[in-house]
Amino acid sequence: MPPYWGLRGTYWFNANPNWGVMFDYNYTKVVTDKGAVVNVSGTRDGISLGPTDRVGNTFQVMEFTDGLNEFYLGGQYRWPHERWTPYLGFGVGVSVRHVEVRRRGPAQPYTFDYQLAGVDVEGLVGLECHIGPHVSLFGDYKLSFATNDTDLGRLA
Amino acid sequence: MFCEASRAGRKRGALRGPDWGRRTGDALAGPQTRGEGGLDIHLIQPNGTNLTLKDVPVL
Repeated sequence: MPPYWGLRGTYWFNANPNWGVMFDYNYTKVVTDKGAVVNVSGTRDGISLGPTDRVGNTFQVMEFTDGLNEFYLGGQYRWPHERWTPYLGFGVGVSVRHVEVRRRGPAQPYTFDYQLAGVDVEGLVGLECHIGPHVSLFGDYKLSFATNDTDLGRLA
Repeated sequence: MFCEASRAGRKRGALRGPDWGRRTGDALAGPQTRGEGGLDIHLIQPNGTNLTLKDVPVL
């Protein structure tokens, strides 16, 4: 599994310490398995395909290895206790993908660039354990959804 | 689920929007990861025809 990582900063309001605003960044990768045989529908270069086809018959390269970059701005709500603090969060943002795609076939352009690909939303639920006055451990489960529309053939 | 791509662009990838002008390049719509790691890929080709690949495994 490729490395997944992220950064998050949260500012908790002094006037209302249950609420905070957060900036969240996620970095993930995708490399398709071009040897896989999957369900397909539609046409490729005018030829109807289906019900299955090998991914590599369509794509020579199909990956986002320089990142599925997701940037979120959102809010968090927490229930502070002496030792344990559960929290919830929600964010909306944009996805910036590094698109690396080349169709199978002669003279197909190679797309290799960053593109603003769509809108992301995320929700998270977590638990923080206070170890000291300025140190905590936390863990959360985060679910994100991103739309990704990308253009191919910018770089021939 | 996936989002429909723009079918646009007088130049390759230069414009986005609903059915503007004449497209010369392909476009991808909605590659998205799932919990299981599958990817739905919707390829829109320059002639306007589509090809959908469902649940493509990712490494």
